[in-house]
Amino acid sequence: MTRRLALALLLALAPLTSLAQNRPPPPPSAQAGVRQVSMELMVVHATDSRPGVDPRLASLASSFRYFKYQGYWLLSTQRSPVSVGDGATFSVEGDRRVKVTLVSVDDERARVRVEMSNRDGKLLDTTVSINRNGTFIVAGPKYQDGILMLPLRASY
Amino acid sequence: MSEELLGRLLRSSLVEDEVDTDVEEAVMQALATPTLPVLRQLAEPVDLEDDIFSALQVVKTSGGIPKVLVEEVDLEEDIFAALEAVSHRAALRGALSATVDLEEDIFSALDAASPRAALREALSASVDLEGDIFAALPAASSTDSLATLLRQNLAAEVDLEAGVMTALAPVASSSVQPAENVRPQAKIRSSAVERDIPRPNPAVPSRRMPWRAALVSLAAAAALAFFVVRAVAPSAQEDAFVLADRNVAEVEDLSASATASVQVMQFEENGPTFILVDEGTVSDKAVPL
Repeated sequence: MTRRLALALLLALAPLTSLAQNRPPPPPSAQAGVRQVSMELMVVHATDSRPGVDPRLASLASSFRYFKYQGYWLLSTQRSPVSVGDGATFSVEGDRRVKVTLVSVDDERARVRVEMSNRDGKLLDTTVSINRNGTFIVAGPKYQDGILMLPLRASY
Repeated sequence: MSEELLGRLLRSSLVEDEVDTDVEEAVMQALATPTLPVLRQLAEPVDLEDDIFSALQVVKTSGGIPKVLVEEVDLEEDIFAALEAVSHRAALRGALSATVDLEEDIFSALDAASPRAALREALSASVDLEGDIFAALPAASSTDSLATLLRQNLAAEVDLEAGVMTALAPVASSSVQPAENVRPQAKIRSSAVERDIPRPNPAVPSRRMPWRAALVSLAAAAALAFFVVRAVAPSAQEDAFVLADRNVAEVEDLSASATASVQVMQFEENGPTFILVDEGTVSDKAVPL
């Protein structure tokens, strides 16, 4: 019976191990002639109504401490691969949109253009040069009782 | 009254009666020469003989008629067993061993066993087998109590087998004694499957998994599967934002709407750069310390 139970467990766990092996491949690595970058936009709600920091934002907690809000919670995460000259548009809470265009990229840095707009029109238009896998944050749009913070990372 | 005299009387009586059936003719022919060799000339091997011999042998050796009848539903076997019980003469077995026709054999056996006058009456109206047998039994039986019981139980055409068994039970228990020189047969096992089933030994702990152990095993397996799934499934830590050790952003161009103001801030040396957009509704909380 013990052998049968062990065999049943092995058979039951076999699909799970295969699932573990089917994890998504890592992002594009440093290959010669990088032409595509994975742009990741996170939407964080800074609020006083819900104190605390989302565990998924632990790496940003040290940066959030410079603001006065009591809570920082992740609302959504969006990713999109973009090529040089192409852009990706992300929807953001509060009827806003963020368009990210990859201007250029090399082994060390990526130049991205960020355009944020709302119903009234373009709110922000900036071009930022960021180091490889680096992050910068667009913050300030009002949302409910707080504001939105939009960490943007260029992964390649 | 000797058998020879009874035979003469019976033959004379049967000759006087005008019997026109084949069975009676056969019986009469057999009775005309009531010797065992003549009866055996009529023998033909049929299945009935095996049944009769088997029943007779069991009845003879086991000493209990009910033992045979309890498990059997064969009418012929019951009848012959009953006949054997009421008459232990060798002539009866000899007559039965040469049987072809059931009725003829029975009547011949009855005649050979006890050629009383009453038998003639039974044979003269040999149409209904059961009626003939029951009518002939008193004549053939040396114990009138058996015939009385049989008549009382079976005369109304009720279940013949049940009646025979009921009637034979007291007779067999009182008059038939088990043979002392018979060894009991080994118990017949019901089937090969039952024979192969191992018998649990109370002195040895059972290796079968009790139901509690089975439940515990299932719970442990479920818990293990749960933890494995959690370990394999994407976790919150996996979805966590990964901040690089070095985050250097250089703002090259910056413009905003006329109603908004923009500030660029860097709080830590390698921390992320903040581009703070003030739409005019940002409270002082959005202003960094």
